Amino acid sequence: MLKLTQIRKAFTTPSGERLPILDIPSLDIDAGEQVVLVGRSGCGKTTLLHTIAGISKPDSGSVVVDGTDITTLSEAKRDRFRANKIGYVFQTFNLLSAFSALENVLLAMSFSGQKADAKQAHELLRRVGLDHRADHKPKQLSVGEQQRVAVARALANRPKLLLADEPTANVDPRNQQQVIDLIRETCGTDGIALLLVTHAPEVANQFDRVENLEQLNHAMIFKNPQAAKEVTV
Amino acid sequence: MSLWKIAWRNLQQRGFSTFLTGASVALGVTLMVAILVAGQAVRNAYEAGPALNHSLLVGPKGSAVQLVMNSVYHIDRPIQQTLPWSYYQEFLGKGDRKDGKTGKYAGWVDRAIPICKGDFYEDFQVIATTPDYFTTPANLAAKKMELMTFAQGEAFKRYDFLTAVLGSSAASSLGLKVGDVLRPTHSVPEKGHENCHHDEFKVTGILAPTGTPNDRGVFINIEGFFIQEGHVNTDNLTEEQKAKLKPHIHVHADGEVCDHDHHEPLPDEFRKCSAIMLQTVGKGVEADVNARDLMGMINDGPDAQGVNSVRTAYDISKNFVNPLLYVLLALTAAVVFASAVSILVSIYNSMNERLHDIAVMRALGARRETVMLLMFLETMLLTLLGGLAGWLIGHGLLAVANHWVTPLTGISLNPWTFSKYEAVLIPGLILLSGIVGYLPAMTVYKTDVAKALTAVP
Repeated sequence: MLKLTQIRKAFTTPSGERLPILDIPSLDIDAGEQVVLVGRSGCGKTTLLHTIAGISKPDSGSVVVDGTDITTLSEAKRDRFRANKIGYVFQTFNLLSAFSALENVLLAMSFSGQKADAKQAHELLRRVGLDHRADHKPKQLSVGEQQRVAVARALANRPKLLLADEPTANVDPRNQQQVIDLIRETCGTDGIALLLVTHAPEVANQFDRVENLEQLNHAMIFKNPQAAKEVTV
Repeated sequence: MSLWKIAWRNLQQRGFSTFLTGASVALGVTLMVAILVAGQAVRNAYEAGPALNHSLLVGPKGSAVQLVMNSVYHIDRPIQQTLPWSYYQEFLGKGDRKDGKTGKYAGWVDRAIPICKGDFYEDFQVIATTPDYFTTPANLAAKKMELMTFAQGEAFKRYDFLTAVLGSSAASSLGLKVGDVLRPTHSVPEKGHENCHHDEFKVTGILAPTGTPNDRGVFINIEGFFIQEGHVNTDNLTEEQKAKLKPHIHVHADGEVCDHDHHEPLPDEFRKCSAIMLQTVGKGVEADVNARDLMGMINDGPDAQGVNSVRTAYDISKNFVNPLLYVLLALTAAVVFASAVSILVSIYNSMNERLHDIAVMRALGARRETVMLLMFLETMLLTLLGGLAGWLIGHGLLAVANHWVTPLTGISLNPWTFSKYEAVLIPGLILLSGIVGYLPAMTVYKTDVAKALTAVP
C-alpha cells in the first residue's frame, strides 16, 4: 500500500546551510497493516508524514501509495490524490472552527471532487459516537470529541492509507485510549493501512509493528539538536 | 459543500469584522445610490422638456433663470414686475378675445396659459392659472402623450372661481383631499405674524404623480386669484365694478346663467399676470422654430422677455447641477474605495488564522486554485452583500427623504426610479472585490502548506 524508496529531503537553514532532514532508504506498509512510528522530537516524523501525504515533495526518491508514485504527479493531481486516497489525523485536530462537526466531514468530501454525501457524513459521525453532536462547532466539543471528529473527517473519502500524527498528544488521558481504539478499529474494519506517529510508549506498545525513525532515517539531524531547533520539521 | 457556502461560513466566523467591513461598503454604496438617483431626479426635473406644457415662456424683463425657476419649478420669487393683461391678449385669436380682435402674436400660438404667482399656502407656492394648464398641448396629444392625469377628482371649472387643484406631493404633504378647502396667504407666510389670508378655495382634483415640479403645485383658479385682497387696486374701480366683485347671480360672457351667488370675473383692464406659457403652432421641429422666431420678436420688444425653458433648464443643469454631481460622485467613489481597502485590511489582520485554515483545507485535498477562488468569493460576497444592503438603504433613505426634499426643492425623489449608472454598480463592485481580493488570494495561493500547518494559528 505504501512504499518509500530512497527518500531524501533537506531544508535550508537561516545561515544558508542545507540541513538533511530525511534520508530513508526504504519503508513498506501493506494494505490494512497498522504500523506505529516512534522517534524523539525533531527527528523528522511530521516531515515524513507530509512527504507521504504529498503535502511536500522529497528532494529525491519515490513515494508509492496504492500503486501510484505521487512524486511524479503535478501538485494539483497530488492534492486530488491525497483527498481521495489518504486520510490525515493531526496532532492539533485542525478542525475548521467556522464549520460544524458535520460540515468538517463534508468539507473533506467536497475537496475530493465527489458530491458531499451528508448521509455518509452522519454515518461516519455515528461510528465515532458523535452523530448527536453533528451540528456543534469545534469550540462546543471537548478535545476528545474534536479528535473523534477529526478521525471521521480523515475517513470521509474511504482512504487507502491513514496517517495519524501524534493523535493523542493533545487529548486528555481519559480519552487517549478511546481515540487510539477508534482509529485502530476503524482502519481494521475498513482495511485501511495505518501509519501512526507517537512518542508515547503506552501507545506504541499496542502495535505489532513499531518502526523507530531514528534508526530508519539516516539523516544526521537528530545528531545535531541545535540545527533541529532552527528548522521546523 | 459549495465554495460559496464555505466562503459564507468563513465570513460568519468573523461576524463582527464582517459586519463592520460590510457596513463600510454599504455606507459608500448608500451615498453613491442616493447621489445617483437624486442627481437623476434633479436632471430629470430640469431637463424634462416633454413634461413642460409649453414651448416658450414669456415674462417681464429681468432674469431668465429667475423667470424659469419661479414659473416652471415653483421656487425662487417671481420677477418684481408683471405683464399687463393686454400683453397676454396679444397671443390670443379673435375668438378668445372680448374685443374680437386678433392678437399681434396669435398666428404663432396654439395656446397661451397665463399664470399669476406670489401667493402661498403654508410652504407651497400657489400658481394661479386657467384649467388649460392641466390639459396636454395639441402637438403632444396627437402623439397620445398625456402630461397630467388626475388621481382624484378633476380640474377646476373656469367659472368656479374659488377652486383649486393639488399636485400629488403637495396633497400628501398637506394632507388634503378632494372637497377640502385651503386658504392661501398673500405673499410668503411669516411665523409669528398676522398673515393676510385669502378666501377659502375648494379642492376639486389631485394630480397623479408626474415627476415634475408640478407635483408640489398648489394650483388655484386664476379668476379666484384676481378677486383676492391685494391683487386688485380697488382704488381705481367704480362702485359698480366693486359690487361685481362680490358674489351675485349673473350671466356669464358665454351666455351661461348661474343659479347661485358667485363672483363675476375681474374686468380685463385690471388684470395682470406673472408669466405666460405659450405652445407655438406646429409639430416637433416646426413648433420649436416658431418658438424661436416668436422669442426673437418678443425679446426685440420693450415689454417682455421670451425664454426657452428647456434650454434654460438644460443650462442650469449643465453649469450648476452636473459639476456638483460629479464632485459628489467622486467623493462617494472615494468612500467606496476606502471601504474596499477596509476589507483588505480586515482580511490581512486575520491572515495568520486564515493561512492555517487554508493549509488545513489544502491538506484535506483542496487545490491552490480552489483556496484562491475561495478568497475571491469571500471578498466578493462581502462586497456584494454590503453593496446590496447599501443599495436598499440608499433607495430607502430616498423614500424617507422624499417627504422633506420635495416640498423644499420642488424635485420629486421617486425612490423606485433607478439611475442607469446603478446598472454598473454591481459589475463595478465585483471588479472592486477582485482588486481587493487579489492580494489575499495570491497570499493563500502561495501558502506553504507544511509550514502553515505547523505554525501556531
